[in-house]
Amino acid sequence: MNTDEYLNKIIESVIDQDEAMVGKSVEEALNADIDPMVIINDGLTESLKKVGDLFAEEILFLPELIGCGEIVTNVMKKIEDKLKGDDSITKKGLMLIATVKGDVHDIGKNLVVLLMGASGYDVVDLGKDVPANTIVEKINELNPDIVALSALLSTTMPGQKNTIQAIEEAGIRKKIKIMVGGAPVTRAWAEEIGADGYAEDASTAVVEADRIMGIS
Amino acid sequence: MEPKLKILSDREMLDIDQASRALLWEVGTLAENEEAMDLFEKAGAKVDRKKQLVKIPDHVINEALAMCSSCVRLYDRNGGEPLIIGGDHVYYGTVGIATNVLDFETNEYRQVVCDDLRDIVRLSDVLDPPDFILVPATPTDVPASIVDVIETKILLTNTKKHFIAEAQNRENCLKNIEMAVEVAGSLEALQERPFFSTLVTLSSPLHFRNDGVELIVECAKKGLPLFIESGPMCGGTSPATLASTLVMANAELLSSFVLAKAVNPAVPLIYASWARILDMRAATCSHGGPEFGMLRIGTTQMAKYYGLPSGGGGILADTKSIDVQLGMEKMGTGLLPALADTNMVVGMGLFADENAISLETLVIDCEIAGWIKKVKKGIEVNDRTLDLTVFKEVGPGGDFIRAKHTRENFKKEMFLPKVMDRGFLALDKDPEEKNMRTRARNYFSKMMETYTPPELPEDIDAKLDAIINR
Repeated sequence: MNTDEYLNKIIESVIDQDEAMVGKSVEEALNADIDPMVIINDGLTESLKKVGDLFAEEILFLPELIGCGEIVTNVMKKIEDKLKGDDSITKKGLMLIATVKGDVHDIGKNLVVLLMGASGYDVVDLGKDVPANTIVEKINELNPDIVALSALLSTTMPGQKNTIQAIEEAGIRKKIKIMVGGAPVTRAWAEEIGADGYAEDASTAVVEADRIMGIS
Repeated sequence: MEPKLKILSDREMLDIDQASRALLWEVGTLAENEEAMDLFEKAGAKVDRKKQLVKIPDHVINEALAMCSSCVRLYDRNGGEPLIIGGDHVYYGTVGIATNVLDFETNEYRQVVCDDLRDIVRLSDVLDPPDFILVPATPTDVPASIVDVIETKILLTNTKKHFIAEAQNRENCLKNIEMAVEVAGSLEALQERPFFSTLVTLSSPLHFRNDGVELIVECAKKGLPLFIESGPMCGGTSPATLASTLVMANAELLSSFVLAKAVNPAVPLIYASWARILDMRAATCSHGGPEFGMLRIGTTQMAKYYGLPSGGGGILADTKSIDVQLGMEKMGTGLLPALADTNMVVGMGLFADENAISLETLVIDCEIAGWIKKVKKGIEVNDRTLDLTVFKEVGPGGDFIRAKHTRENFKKEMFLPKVMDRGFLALDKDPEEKNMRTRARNYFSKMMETYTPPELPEDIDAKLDAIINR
């Protein structure tokens, strides 16, 4: 088998939601001396892009999207554990994510956490109903590349605006990229409140994060 | 349990039965056909040859009913399990008559041509439901004298689902059978697994036309299933009470069953009705109003009263466009018969007061029928569906969307719409992009991309043409 065939096998078994087969295919690819980063980026992460496309085309459903995300997360962790200390594994960046103050909805946000983690980002999840000052403190402490703010209700969307204002007032706005999302959020709103990125669902959040990080 | 709906009490059904018997004995039915009069006489009816009037006594009706089965098995050509028509089974089908099509490309009405019928049959073949296909349109680009046999050929060559054929006279009815025999290999093979039935539409009030008699006689002789429909119009061809309309529909069907069973006690019969009202403003018959759904429950209950397989119009609409009225009418007239366990609901695709069909309405009706089939299944309550394990796993404050239990169950427990839009309100996008009609169009295109019609050997195709053109 050539590299593409190894990678395709990984991709297909993720789409089939067959965790054992994903693990086996990754093992085979590693044994064939394929670069672990290639396996991660062009195999596992690529598979989630395909899964995201199938979800957008209404072929796969939410629980299946989550199932695929969890499979990739588990397998990714195994690769990382195996290659610990090896500097061949690099992360795309660190994302800090929260549902803003006043909003207790986190199913969508959790999905973003899952898919971002499975797509090569380190993610720190601050949870739901998170006040702006907590987010500012965490930025100072963890020095993330991206801060992602979720709001599910039109009544809590202003929380995204307030958080961005607080970040600006703290003088740390330029250090980070900010993404917003949630059912009522639009790109126009994202631009209005000065966010760098916007995604309408969890799969496109990964694509958008790559875009604003300058990773094609 | 499954949800059930009734509109007649046991006493009311008995009253309708007695009134129907009184009608057939005291008023009688016209049979302007010698063969029919002979058969009725043979069965024990009193026949006035001069007036061509047939009066049927109770015991003759009882004898015919005693020869009927509580279910009819309708086969397909895939070798699958047959549709069991009877009991609480509910199946959806398309329906014929339409001579106009709302063009997919131009969104304008035009006359149906053979290619339209082919496209509609192919879409019916790929969608699920329809569970069976009643000739879904009448082409206008072929001679009227052979249009029915051409329809049958289009059905034979474009679907393997069970279909219901039309025929305008004895000759064409026999040609339909002959073509089906070609495809089946032999008459015996066709009789063993009949993959088509014949539609008989009775004329109200109480009047056997020649064509109806000929179809009943020829199919009964060969023991091939008959889907017999009565369709009195309340206030037009039946009295202006819904109860009398049920009596008329019932009496006409009972008399046709007497006729068919006089030919052959083994002929499988389905009791179907389109009992409806005459709209007193437009002078059209209405198929989308509340009475249509109510009458369908009524005719279905009467079929069940006699222990017969049932069918009839449903999932229909009077509206002339694909609009809010369409959704309202089709859901109402689709849901009510289903809740009454009408075994064969025919109407998918048809709208505009029986005058038009479109590919989009067929897709939309597939969605509506799927929605209704979900309701029919009821809520499954048992140890499996009540299992506490997943509650324990997720615990208070958790979410179930990530649970393996959800992945294993959501497809079984939830109706997964194909064309209904349930996305969030995207203020920055054109709302029309996701309206049901647009989504139905897209779904049609997606379904047909990979579709291949069933294949028939070339020599059979030529043989079918020879039968048609003989």
